[in-house]
Amino acid sequence: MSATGHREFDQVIHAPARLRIMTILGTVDRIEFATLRDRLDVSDSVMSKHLAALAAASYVTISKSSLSGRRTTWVAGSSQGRRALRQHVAALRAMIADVPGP
Amino acid sequence: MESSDWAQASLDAVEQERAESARRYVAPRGYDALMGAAVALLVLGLSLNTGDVATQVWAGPTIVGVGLLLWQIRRFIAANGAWISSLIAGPTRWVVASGVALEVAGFAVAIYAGSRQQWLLVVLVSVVTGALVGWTSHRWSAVYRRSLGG
Repeated sequence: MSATGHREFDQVIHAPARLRIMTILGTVDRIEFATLRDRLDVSDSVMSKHLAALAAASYVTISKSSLSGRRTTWVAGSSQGRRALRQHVAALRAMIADVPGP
Repeated sequence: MESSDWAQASLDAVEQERAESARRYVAPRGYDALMGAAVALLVLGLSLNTGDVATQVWAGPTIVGVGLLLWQIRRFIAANGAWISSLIAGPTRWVVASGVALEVAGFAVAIYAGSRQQWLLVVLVSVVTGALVGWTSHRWSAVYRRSLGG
């Protein structure tokens, strides 16, 4: 909790693109890099940067494997990442709940 | 933008993304493991119900084959039309539910009539076939997701 009584926002998944990535990763076991990139409609380099930031926080794991003779990069959310997303969403809800009505 | 507006927009984005993922990705988190476990239960239940290990050797692959076919057809159709998927999903769930019911009955039979050796063999084969189905499902789903564009 912060001094204002709010749960802290997670600075790593605060960015809209990373919030979307973590949300998607929360719904599947793992997903191909290319599928995720196409979903967010960003370039390879932008996607790599976002994933690097998430991996540095241990929110995602990135692995490579061969499937039907093709090298494939897989991205999976970690339990730590899913927990961070839940807490971030809870913080967003808390912020809205604290707003007095009209 | 007010901070509460921004928070609401973020929450909306999360909900929208979840809904889209559920619609788009046929195999949600844990789906493959669940499928493997369901088939393992089905094989275990049927084999224990027959009380014959030899029958189980044939029943296992047959059920695995039928289950895989049903599930993969559903995956393929689900990616192309939700309404068709819903038609297939109902019977598939029914098959799994039947397997669980068989399993429960099978345990009751085994407790009273099964030998220790039969138990061990049946459990072993069930676990192996279940793991095989889960793994195969995982691999196939990846291929389908790519070929269908996610």
